[in-house]
Amino acid sequence: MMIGGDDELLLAPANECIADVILRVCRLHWRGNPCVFEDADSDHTYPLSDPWVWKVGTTSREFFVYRSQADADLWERDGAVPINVNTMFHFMIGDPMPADPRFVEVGFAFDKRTAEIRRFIEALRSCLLSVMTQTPMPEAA
Amino acid sequence: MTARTLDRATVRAALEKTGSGWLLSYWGQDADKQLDKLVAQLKDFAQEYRRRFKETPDLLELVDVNPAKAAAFFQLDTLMASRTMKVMIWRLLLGSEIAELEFRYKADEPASFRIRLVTPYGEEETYQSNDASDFRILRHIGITGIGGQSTLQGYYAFKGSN
Repeated sequence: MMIGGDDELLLAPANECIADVILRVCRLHWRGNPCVFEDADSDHTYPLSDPWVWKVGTTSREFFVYRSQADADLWERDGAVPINVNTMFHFMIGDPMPADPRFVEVGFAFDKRTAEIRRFIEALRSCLLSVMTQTPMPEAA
Repeated sequence: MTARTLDRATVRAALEKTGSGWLLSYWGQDADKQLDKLVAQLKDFAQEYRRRFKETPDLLELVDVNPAKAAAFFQLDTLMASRTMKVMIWRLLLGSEIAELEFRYKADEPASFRIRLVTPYGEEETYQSNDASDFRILRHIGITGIGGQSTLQGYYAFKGSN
């Protein structure tokens, strides 16, 4: 049985390490779980305890974060099935927006919009905003 | 082991590539002298990091591999931070979480800055400083707000200082 997916579009500052922000919020969301990272161009997963993820992986523009390696294995084997709902998040970081190159769009795809997912989106948006406030926004002053 | 050595030329290039090249203009004729001082401080940081963690932080590799993170490290606030706090910042860049932070300041008294990190492996590390100039690094720390509670997260470049 396939599960219908959902997505959310967020704004983030350009030229910032957006993936770092995302991974930290994922880690908070799945606190206590050994989350793993997978670049969209690779089929290799890395635990978030691997320094490679933070040094190199965070430069990725499209990647997946799984709640655990077991969840990643399940996704690999069975795809989207009820048992693994919202155990994998898919992120896509766009290029600077032509209308305002200070920003990029961040696509976040997930399975089902639950209360937990809404809280995750709220947390991610607030963290991206906090990084954004470190960027000068003259007209906002 | 670092692929390239920290020296006047490589640090100059790193500053330029990470958006902190304005420092060279600010230093003007003193640039070489200031660069030498900075190189010595960065080597001191790398040595302390190696002593503590048995591995060498490759600052120049970070510039090539992850310019956004390197920009945070090569900004003035970080460069002016104490050696201890530079080590702490590198640990944050490599994924550590902030578990506790205390900053105490009173005029005419030494400042007190203490930060406790939890590494991605779950180990706790504590960093302490009495250098009031370390206060500057606080503005590089991100904040996640959820349900009325704020969580300090990560270490990012501060664009407003360039």
